[in-house]
Amino acid sequence: MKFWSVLKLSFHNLANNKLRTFLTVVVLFIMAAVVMLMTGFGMSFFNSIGASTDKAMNEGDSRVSITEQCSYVDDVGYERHEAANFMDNTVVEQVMDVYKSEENIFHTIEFSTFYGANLSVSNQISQFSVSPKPMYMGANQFAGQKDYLTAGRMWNISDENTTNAWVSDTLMEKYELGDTIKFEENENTFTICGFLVSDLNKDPYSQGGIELFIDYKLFDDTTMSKTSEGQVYYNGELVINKIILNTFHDKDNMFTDSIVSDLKGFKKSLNSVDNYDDDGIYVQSSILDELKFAMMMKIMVLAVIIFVSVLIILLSIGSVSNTIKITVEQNRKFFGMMKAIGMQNKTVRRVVQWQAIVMVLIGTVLATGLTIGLMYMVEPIVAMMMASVFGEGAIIIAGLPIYIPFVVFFALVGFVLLFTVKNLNKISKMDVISVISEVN
Amino acid sequence: MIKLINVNKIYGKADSAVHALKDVNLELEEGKFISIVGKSGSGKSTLMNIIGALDSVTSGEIECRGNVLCKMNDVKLANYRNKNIGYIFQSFYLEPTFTVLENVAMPLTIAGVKRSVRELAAMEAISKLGISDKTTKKASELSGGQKQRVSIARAIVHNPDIILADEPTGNLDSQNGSEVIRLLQSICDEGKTVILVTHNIDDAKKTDIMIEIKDGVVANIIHHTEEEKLAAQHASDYDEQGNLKEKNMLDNKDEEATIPTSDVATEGAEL
Repeated sequence: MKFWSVLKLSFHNLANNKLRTFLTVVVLFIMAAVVMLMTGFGMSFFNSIGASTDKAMNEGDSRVSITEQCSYVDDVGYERHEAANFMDNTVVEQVMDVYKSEENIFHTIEFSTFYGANLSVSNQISQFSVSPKPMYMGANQFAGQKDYLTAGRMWNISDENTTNAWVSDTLMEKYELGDTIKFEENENTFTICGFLVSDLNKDPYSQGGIELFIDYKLFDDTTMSKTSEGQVYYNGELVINKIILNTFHDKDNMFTDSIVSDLKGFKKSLNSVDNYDDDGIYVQSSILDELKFAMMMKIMVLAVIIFVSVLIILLSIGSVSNTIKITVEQNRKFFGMMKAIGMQNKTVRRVVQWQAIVMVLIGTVLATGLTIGLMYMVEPIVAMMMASVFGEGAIIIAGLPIYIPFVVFFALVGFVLLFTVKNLNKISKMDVISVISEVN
Repeated sequence: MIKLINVNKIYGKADSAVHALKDVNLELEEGKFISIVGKSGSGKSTLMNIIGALDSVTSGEIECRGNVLCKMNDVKLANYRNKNIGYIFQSFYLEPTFTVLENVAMPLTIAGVKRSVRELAAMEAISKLGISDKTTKKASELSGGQKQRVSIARAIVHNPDIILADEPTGNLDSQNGSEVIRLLQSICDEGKTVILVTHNIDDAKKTDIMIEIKDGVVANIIHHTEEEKLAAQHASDYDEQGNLKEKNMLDNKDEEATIPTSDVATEGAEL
């Protein structure tokens, strides 16, 4: 029997009991709409979390240079320090002394955004670079020389002919959260467990000096969950021994005292932050924790979607399966006659199956239309929920993925066909003689 | 030739088993109008169903025009029924929401025949049965006699070799019943084998061969001469006073009917 004839018979049987068909389509429509709406909502939330997390993981050009126990005094403005000036490391040691006196809480952590191409810094930064070597050296200052001691350590300039260049541009390596950094000097290993956040949107050169440093909102979103005795722990594991804030711009190294003073002030300001406890221990949760929370939310959203969708699809199947069962029973005479005049079992089954498919199709198409309409209402809800988790920087990706209606349709069709096998088998086993006898 | 060799049919098992047919051996000649008569439960419908490949035998063999039905699987049997058998049921078995044309064309639809071809064939069959004016009517809108004509048209539309009619007159009044028998005779005259299952002896007397089934056994096979058939037809056409009974013509007034009425049947008898 040709496909169109089968389809026509299916439509005929559906039309024969309009009320039953209508009610089944309504049930399917509601179920499919709920599944799609939930999926649309869930996917929006899911995608928004993913995008916001990715943004947090990848966005920004803020680079942090961490060197171990070596303070690096950067240049200011256009009059940069010659590398040679640091060779005696005097300033370095002075600063180091200050920080040592400040309980050596901090390692050297240096923002390098001020020399980066992109100065915009987001509060969702998670990627940063750590250089085990000083960031800047004017190559023309030491061309032909080797083994400069800079920022407390020796390093080589391999290209003697290099011109004035940002050494750190070539030395910088990018690190992700959770990466480890191994310093060459003492082979200490650190785990990147957070990042510094600055609200710098300005060229530090134009700011200059101490003020710039003060503008840095260091540790606003860092991940130091615990500091103690100059050590930073993350999840109970020692990740950083000491951190010394060391980014400042000290023209001619004349402001060491001011710097130190400001650093002290800065430390005080840190202590005044709510996230510091009375002992000065930073207790702000880790961005990793936040990311983990986000990931957990994604999984939870996914789990809820899958659970409810399966539940609803099962209910739909129950409805359609029941309809098929009733259809088979009520059309015994019709199918019996068809079989008597030569219709094969498989053709009869196809007629019934297409009835189910047509109903599912109508229900799904209607549900898709409704869901697309309702998705406009979903977007602000997702935005509101995302804002509560990620703040204003959250990315909102709301909408019903185009493949969802198809997935719902094929899932419903697949399950319906699967669950109607028993009823369809009844058709195969239908005794034509008994059907004829019933009527005769 | 339709051959039944030691055919047994048992329904049920053990104590509840019913032996519907017992060692039935028959050879039915093609192109004949054959009736199977017997009381209710005698096994006549079972015999027809087995010949029509609607039912299987418990033991024995059945061969229709070279096809050994016992060896066929469900698919082949379905195809066999679709191509070789035309069924006429007592309750017509028309789909009430289909038009006459759709009902008649159904065997061809199932066979996957192209729409234009099947509609042409259906129109031809409808025309033969004299119900051309009902083509677009729904089956539910027809009278009993008209429904049976549609049923007969459906049985012949695919040009089968064998027409099986199970109590086709059972739901009709005597005149419409008589008309149906005439139509079956005319189909037989076109070379088809028509097997009529009936408990009406008067109808059976109008057939070439009357097979009497009794308790699942072939009790009698009676060959009717043309004269006997004519007499039986005459008896149903005229009342006891010799007056021609008013013909209802299956509720049909269609003048285009090409299937011979009693007059043509008489002509056929003279031949």
